[in-house]
Amino acid sequence: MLQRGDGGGTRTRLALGVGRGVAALSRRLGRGRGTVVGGHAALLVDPRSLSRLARDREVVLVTGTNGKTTTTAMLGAMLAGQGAPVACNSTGANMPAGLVTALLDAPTARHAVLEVDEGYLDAVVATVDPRVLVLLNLSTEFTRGVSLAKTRSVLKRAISHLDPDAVVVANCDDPQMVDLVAGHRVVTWVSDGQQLTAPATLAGEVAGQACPRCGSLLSATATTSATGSSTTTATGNSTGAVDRTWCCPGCGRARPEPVWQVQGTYLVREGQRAHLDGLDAAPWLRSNAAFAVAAAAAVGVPPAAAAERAAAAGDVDGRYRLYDLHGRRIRVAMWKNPASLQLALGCVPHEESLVVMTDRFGVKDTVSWWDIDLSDWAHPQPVLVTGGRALDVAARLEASEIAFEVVEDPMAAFLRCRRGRVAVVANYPAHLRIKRILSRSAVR
Amino acid sequence: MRVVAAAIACEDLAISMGDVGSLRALAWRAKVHGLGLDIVHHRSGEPLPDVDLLLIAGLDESGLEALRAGLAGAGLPTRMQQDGPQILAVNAGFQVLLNTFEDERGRVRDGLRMIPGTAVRGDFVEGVFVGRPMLQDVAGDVSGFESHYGRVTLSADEGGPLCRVLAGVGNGTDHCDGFVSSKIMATFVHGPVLARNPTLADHLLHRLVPDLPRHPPARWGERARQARAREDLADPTGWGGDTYGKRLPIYSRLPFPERS
Repeated sequence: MLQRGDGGGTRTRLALGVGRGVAALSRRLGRGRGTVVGGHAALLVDPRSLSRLARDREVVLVTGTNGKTTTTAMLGAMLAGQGAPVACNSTGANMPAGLVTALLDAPTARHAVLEVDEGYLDAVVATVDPRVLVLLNLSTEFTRGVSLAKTRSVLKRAISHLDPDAVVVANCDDPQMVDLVAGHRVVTWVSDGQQLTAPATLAGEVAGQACPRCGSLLSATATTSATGSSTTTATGNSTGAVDRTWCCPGCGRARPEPVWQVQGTYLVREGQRAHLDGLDAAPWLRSNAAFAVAAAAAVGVPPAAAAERAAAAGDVDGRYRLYDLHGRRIRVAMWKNPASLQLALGCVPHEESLVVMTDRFGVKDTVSWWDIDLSDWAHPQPVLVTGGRALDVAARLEASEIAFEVVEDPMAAFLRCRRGRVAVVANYPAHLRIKRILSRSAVR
Repeated sequence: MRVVAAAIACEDLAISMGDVGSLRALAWRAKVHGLGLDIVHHRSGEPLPDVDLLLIAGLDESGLEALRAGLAGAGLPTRMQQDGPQILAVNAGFQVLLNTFEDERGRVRDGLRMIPGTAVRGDFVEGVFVGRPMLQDVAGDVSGFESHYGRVTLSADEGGPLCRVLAGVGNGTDHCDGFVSSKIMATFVHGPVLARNPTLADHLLHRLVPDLPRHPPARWGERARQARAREDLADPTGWGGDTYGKRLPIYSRLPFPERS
């Protein structure tokens, strides 16, 4: 290891130079997109590179279990819409080396929007002193083998490191988040209308989750909101105009009143509405947009302008790309954990063909399939099951008596679908493989 | 229809390793056998419900002592001295049932003394597991993954290990994994273990209902089990094949920058 404490200046400059050089070399050699390697090199030369690079910038950090990358990309697009350059790790490289690379790539940007892995949040907050911290969700935390308690303690430390005037944009529908943020002075609550179910409960049988403060089972109430119901249309997301709140019968804690609220296709704030347009590619995009607009507002972007730019984030690392394969319009929903898998399956329109593609992704790669509840789930046509873990997924569908067909080759599975819309539910490596094999068929 | 009841002991503690899927798999195999499976909920602090099968699941290792306390508080040892339920214990569940175990700081703790033996803390093991079950009526190999620090030495008069290890570590002392007796099946294997191995689910159902007629194994469940038991021997990291290299996890080992 290199020695520490030589005063910084020269060594940091050297580190940044090395980092830039390595990133450029990596890109020129075609060894990937260089989203991490430059930062890695800079950190090896000087561990203080991140702190140095973040100095004098207005930093927005985004973290949570689900939606980090998309929210970050949207926020980046919103700030970039203001005309000035923005440093942004919009492709999901969310560990220290990825953050350093993003900052190295935009040396003159005054704003930085950085997605951070939950595990590093406390250290990153202490290092970069963010102006805004976006906390998306936590109750769906699942990292296998890492307890919710561990993630909570990292987040709690992170919040305690914040400048007291920093703005926390947090999800008020998530009881865990509300409990964690409780002590901070400046909080903007967002209700995203998303129904992410906690993993690994036997959903449907467990009514809800426990109060993080006193352990009583929380009670949930759903009310149809007047503003929402009269103006919104169904969006494939059945929670459209329903406002779900929660409260604890044990200690009386209740959902804080949201400042921003997603109602159908609109984002509402104090009676004013902004339309969230062009966000139909995945069921969670409006939720992501709501957090992005709220965070953008905290750094001075007018909400209407921000909302218009949400769709400008584009296909975020190819995740929301539309492909056309001989008349089949293929859209991929990528899942990473039980909550996003449950949501992705729950939002497949019944008229679309469904391909489920699951590739090898370590030893725990099929566990999420058994975490989710499929007892009320159905699809009118047989599900086409493909990918390296097709047999495991077939066994899961067999267990829930869901009709399916195993087609080993993904291309054959796509071609087996009728012409028209095709929904693909894929895990991360399957998403990468689809991106590669369908790249010539990309429509947008 | 006959109905059997099952619960996850202290399910509020035991959610992080995905073992609840074992109950889903058990419910599926019960239905195939014409049995109903009634899932009862149990949270720590509550008395143990009256069930036929109790799943004591795996969890983050910092929760071992909490799990032991939860089970003791629920009255599990007393219940087992009477006519208690069949038990499936996975990882943390396995370790706390032993005479002693070591917590995450290496302190020796008293276990619930339901399985004769001791657990100590070794190096972290994470990877595939393939084992050959020592149960007469379980055909074929068992597969899944392990993620634990525990090393178990059994000192059983009654009962013995569940599997011989073909790939992986298991108990880590005798080339075997787990423990099985007339009342308890314990293992380090996640998967969820009953989902990846419907053969074990069927075995447990026959323990609950001895006169249950034998049914053919699950069609796709059995194909998946065979494929994984075979493939996992060849690809112990689970990262092989498709398109994905082993490069990703390297970055997670990066040193974190200090604050200047």
